Amino acid sequence: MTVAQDTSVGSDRDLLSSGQAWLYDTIVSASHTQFVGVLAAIVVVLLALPLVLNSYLVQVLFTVFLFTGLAFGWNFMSGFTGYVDFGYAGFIGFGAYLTVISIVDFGFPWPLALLTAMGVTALVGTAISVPMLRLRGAYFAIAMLAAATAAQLLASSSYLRPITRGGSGISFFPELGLTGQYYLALTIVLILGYVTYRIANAPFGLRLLAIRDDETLAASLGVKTVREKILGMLLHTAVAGLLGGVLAFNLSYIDPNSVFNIQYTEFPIVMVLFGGLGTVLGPVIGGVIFVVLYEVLWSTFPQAYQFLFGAAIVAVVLFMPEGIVEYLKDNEYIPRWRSL
Amino acid sequence: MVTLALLTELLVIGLFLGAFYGLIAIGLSLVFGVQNVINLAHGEFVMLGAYAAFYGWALLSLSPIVSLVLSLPLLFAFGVFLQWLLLERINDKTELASLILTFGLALSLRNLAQFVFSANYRSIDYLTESVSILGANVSLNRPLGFGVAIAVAAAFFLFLRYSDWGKAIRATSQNPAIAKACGINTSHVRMVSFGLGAATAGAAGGIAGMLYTIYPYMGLQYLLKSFVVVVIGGLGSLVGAAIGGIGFGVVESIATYQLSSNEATMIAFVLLVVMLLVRPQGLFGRSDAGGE
Repeated sequence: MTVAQDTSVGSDRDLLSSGQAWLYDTIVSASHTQFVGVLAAIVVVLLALPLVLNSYLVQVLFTVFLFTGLAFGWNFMSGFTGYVDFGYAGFIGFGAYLTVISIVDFGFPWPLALLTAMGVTALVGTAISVPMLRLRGAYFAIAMLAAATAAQLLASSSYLRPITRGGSGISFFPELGLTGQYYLALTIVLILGYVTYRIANAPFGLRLLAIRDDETLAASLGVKTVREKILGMLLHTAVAGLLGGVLAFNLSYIDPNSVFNIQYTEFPIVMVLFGGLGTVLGPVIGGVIFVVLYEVLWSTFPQAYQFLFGAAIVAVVLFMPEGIVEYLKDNEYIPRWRSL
Repeated sequence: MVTLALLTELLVIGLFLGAFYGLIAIGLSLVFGVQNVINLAHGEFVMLGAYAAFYGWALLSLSPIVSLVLSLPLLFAFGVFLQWLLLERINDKTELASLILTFGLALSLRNLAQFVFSANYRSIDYLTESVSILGANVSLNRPLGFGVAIAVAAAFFLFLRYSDWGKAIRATSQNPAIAKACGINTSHVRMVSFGLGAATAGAAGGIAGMLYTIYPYMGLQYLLKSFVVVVIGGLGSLVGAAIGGIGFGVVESIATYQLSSNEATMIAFVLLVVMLLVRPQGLFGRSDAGGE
C-alpha cells in the first residue's frame, strides 16, 4: 500500500519536473528572434480576433486589455517602489472627466482629448501625490484612499456642478466604436508592456526596486529617492488618465459613481499582487486570469460571484503571497530574469 | 447664523455621533496596534452587528440593546475564527498581504450578506419619539445609542486595563517579540484582539441599525470614516481613537448643517490627508509609526 503510494507520488513529481524543465529550457535556449516571433504571432491573433468574435467576446477582451493596462500603470509605482496606492480610481475618474469634458464642451477630437487627459492627470496627480510620498506603508495607502474619495465627492458636489454636472453625470456619443476601442486598448497595453519590460531591465527599475526593499539604505547609497518616486508617479498617473478616457469611451456615460468606482482601485491591486509585484509578466497574467475568472463567475453564479471572487483573493494571499511569477521563478519553471 | 442654542444642539448631536464613530475606531486601532493589520473588513462587522439587531427585533421582537447581549459573543467568536483561519497564516508577511486579504474578506462577507439577508433596505423603528436634551431635540434612540457606545467602550478599556488578557494584549501591542519572550502566547492574543475588534464593531453596528438604514454594503462608509478618526487620533492609540471619534462627530454635525452631508464627508477626507501630512502619527500616536 505504502509502496504503491510512493511510486505514484514519485511519478507525479517526475512528470511535473519534466514539464517544468521543458518550459525552463525552452525559455533559456530561445533566441531573441524566436521571442519576437512568438510575441508577433500573439499580436497578429489578437488583431484578427474582432473579425471573428461576437461583440460580447470583443467586450470581454477589451475589459481584459483595460484592466491589464491599469495593472501595468499601478505596477509602475506601487509594484516597483512598494508605495501602495489605494486611490488609483481617483486618477482614473479624473482622466475620464477630463476626456469627456474636453470632447463635449470644447469639441476636442478624441485623440487630443485622450492626450490632454493623460498629460493633465499626470501633472496634477503627481503634484498632489508629492507631499504624500513622504508617508510610508499603510499611511500612504490611507492618504491616497482618502484623497480619491474626496475627489469623487468633489466631482458630485455643488461647487463643481457647472463643470461636472454633479451627480447626474454626462452622457456623450463616443466617436470610437467598440472595435476601435478594442484596437486602442490593445495598442496601449502593448506599449505599456514594452515600457515595463524596458524599465525592469534598466537602472531606473533597479532603483525603484531598491526603494521598495529599503528606502533609507537606497538613499544612503546615492539613489535620489524623491526624484525616482516622482518619475514612477508620473508614469502611474499618466496611465490612469489615459485609460480613464478609454473607459469613458466604453461607458459612453460618466458620473462620479461609475468612473471613480473603487473597483478601479481594487482590481489592479489584486491583479498585480496575484501576478507579482514589480514584474513584467505579473500584470498580464493577473489581468487575464482575473477578468476571465470574473466573467465566468459572474455569468455562472450571478448571486454569489463576488463572494467567490473575494474568496479567490483570500486564497491567493494565503497560498501564493509573492504572486504567481515569483512562485514560477522560485520553483524554476521560468528563469530568474528581471525581464520576465 | 449659528446661534448659541443651535451650536449646543449641533454639539450634542455631534457628541452622540462621535461616541458611535469612536466605538468603531477603537476596534480598528486595536487590531492595527497588536498585529499591524489594517482590517478592511472592519466595516463588515458593523454591518453584521446591524443585521443581528434587525433580526433580533424583527423576528424575536428583542430590543436592540438585548440583541447586543447575543450578538457580541457571536461576533467575538467569528473574529477569533477568522484570525485563526486566515490572518494567523500570514502574520509574518507584509502589511500589503493582510491589506489585500482583508479586502477579499470584505468582498466575500458583503456578498454573503446580500445573498443571505437580501439587498433590501431595512430599518429598526425603535424609540423614535423626540426628546429634548440641553435644548437639542433628538429622537430617543440617539442618547440610547450614545449610552451603549460609552458603556461598551468603557467595558473595553477596563478589560484592557485590568484583566490579564488586557495586559497581554497591551504588551503584544508594544513589542510582540519581547511579549513572546516573556511567555505570552501572542498568537492567542492576536485572536482575542481581533475578536474584540469584531465585537466592538458589532456593537456599533447595533447602534447603526437603530439610527440608520441597514443594507449589505453599509460597512464601507463606516470603515472610511473610522479611518479618519483613527488617523486623527493616531493609529494604534485607543485613547486617540475615542477622542478623535468625538471630535470627528462634532465637526461632521456642524459641517453637515452648514453645507451638505456629501460635502461634510469630503471635508473629512481632506482633513485626513492634511492631518497625515502635518502630523502622521496623529494626536496621540506612536512617533515611530509613519512619515520620514
